[in-house]
Amino acid sequence: MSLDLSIPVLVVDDYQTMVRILRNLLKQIGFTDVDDASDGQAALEKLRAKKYGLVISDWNMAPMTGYELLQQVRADAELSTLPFIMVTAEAKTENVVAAKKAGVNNYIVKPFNADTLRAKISAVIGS
Amino acid sequence: MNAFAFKTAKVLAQETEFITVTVAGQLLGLPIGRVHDVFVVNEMTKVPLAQVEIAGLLNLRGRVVTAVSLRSRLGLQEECRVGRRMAVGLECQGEAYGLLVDEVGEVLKLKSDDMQPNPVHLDRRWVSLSQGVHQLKGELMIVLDVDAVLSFEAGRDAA
Repeated sequence: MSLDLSIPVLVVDDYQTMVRILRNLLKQIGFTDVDDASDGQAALEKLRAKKYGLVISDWNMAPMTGYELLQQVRADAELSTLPFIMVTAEAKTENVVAAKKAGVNNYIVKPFNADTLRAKISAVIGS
Repeated sequence: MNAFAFKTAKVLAQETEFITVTVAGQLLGLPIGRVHDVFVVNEMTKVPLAQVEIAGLLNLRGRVVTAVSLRSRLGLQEECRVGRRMAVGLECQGEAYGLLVDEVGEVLKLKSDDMQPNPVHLDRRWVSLSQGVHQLKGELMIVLDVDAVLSFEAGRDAA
């Protein structure tokens, strides 16, 4: 499956170390246009200012969780179809179901590696 | 390429990012290219008769991740920790590992030229797991050799 590595990707996580790791993994995969946001509100502002092709967001953030960010993205007419991947440390069934209902495109449970990340991204935006 | 771009490219090429961790108060650095995750360890299964460095197995949705104690690898006593344990996700020869550490710190971008050889008085066991050191402000960061840290048999043979 081929991936368009030129699409802009937004990484959202309030844990800067994880942001840097994700950015590096995306760079290893070959993505060239990667931005980040440290909370949901900052993410929304970036998403409204630039056309992104993919969002990879952590679930556990404060004050706005990744789940709440997803809900806001899906409620925004301009962003409603934006591919959205959620990263979470917990594989609780209720969380997966809630995220699916809210319109998440894929779900990554920690810990993960570059292959998992690539496979999940490919499943969402691959052609 | 103009002079500025050339200079910038040169500087970038000489910098390495490190995920910093601490064990027993010592700062250690893992090259970011070898780290694919940082996570909290919730449940771990002990492995009977496993080497002391193997803290247990993490079974995550069918994927088995070997938990390795960095304290043990460094020859330090295990600490009786209550509560969450942090791990750094690594891979070596196709196997997934979670390296247990006391704390995960920030990411440091350091010039490769500034890395120095291991101090002569550094413990031999530590030397075998280290690529060198970075002298930071008032603190020494030991750069871990990920392959060496995850090669128990080789370490045992050398010991």
